Amino acid sequence: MMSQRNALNSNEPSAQLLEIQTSRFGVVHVEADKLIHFPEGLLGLPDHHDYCLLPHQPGSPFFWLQSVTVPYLSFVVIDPLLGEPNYFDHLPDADRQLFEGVEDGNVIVLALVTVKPEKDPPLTMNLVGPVVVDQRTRTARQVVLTSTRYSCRHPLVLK
Amino acid sequence: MLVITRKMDESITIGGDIRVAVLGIKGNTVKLGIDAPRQTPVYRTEVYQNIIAENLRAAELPQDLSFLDGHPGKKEGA
Repeated sequence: MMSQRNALNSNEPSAQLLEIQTSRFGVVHVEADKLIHFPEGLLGLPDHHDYCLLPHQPGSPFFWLQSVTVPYLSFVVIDPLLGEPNYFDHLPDADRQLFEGVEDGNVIVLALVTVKPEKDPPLTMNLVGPVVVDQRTRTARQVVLTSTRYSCRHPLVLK
Repeated sequence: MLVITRKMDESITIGGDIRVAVLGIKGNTVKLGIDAPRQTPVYRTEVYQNIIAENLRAAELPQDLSFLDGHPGKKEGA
């Protein structure tokens, strides 16, 4: 099984702090070199290219993918391996190629989480269209698996 | 939409670097082979549309996020 190094919490010293307006958290400060650029945007949101990752709460497995330019545009994300430890296994070669660099820690994979309190289960994660972040270039894209093994609404169960 | 009729083992070329070939025809199922540059994503249309729809759903978050308290794992007793 592939594993993702704990890269989300890295605390390397950094330079310039950017001030970012968010609807949910008010003004937050993010190190300029921690921004994530999506050249193509997320699917369906091609005009929004720049996001940052914010922790949900201390110790929480969840993060926020927050738009840098649109205060109300944000997503809950999670390391998909936390909800589906075998996610990378049994994928066809075409899909494994999408995750090149994960094993050496250069690339992290995030699943977008949908929160719908009225649904059962209320939490699902999109395992067909994960976000792949190259930490070396701070660029990311949402890839689409060819495998039909997973769904856009994979149940995410918390204990 | 441009409509082109192709037979088995024939193909079409799109631009200079994309080729779509008909590899098989069985009942109402057509098997296509696609040669495209690596940076050109190829999607099943319904999957692509599902992801767009799910992204928009995911962007609509409730104010109450107590559902996010906890860690992934199996339910107790499950």
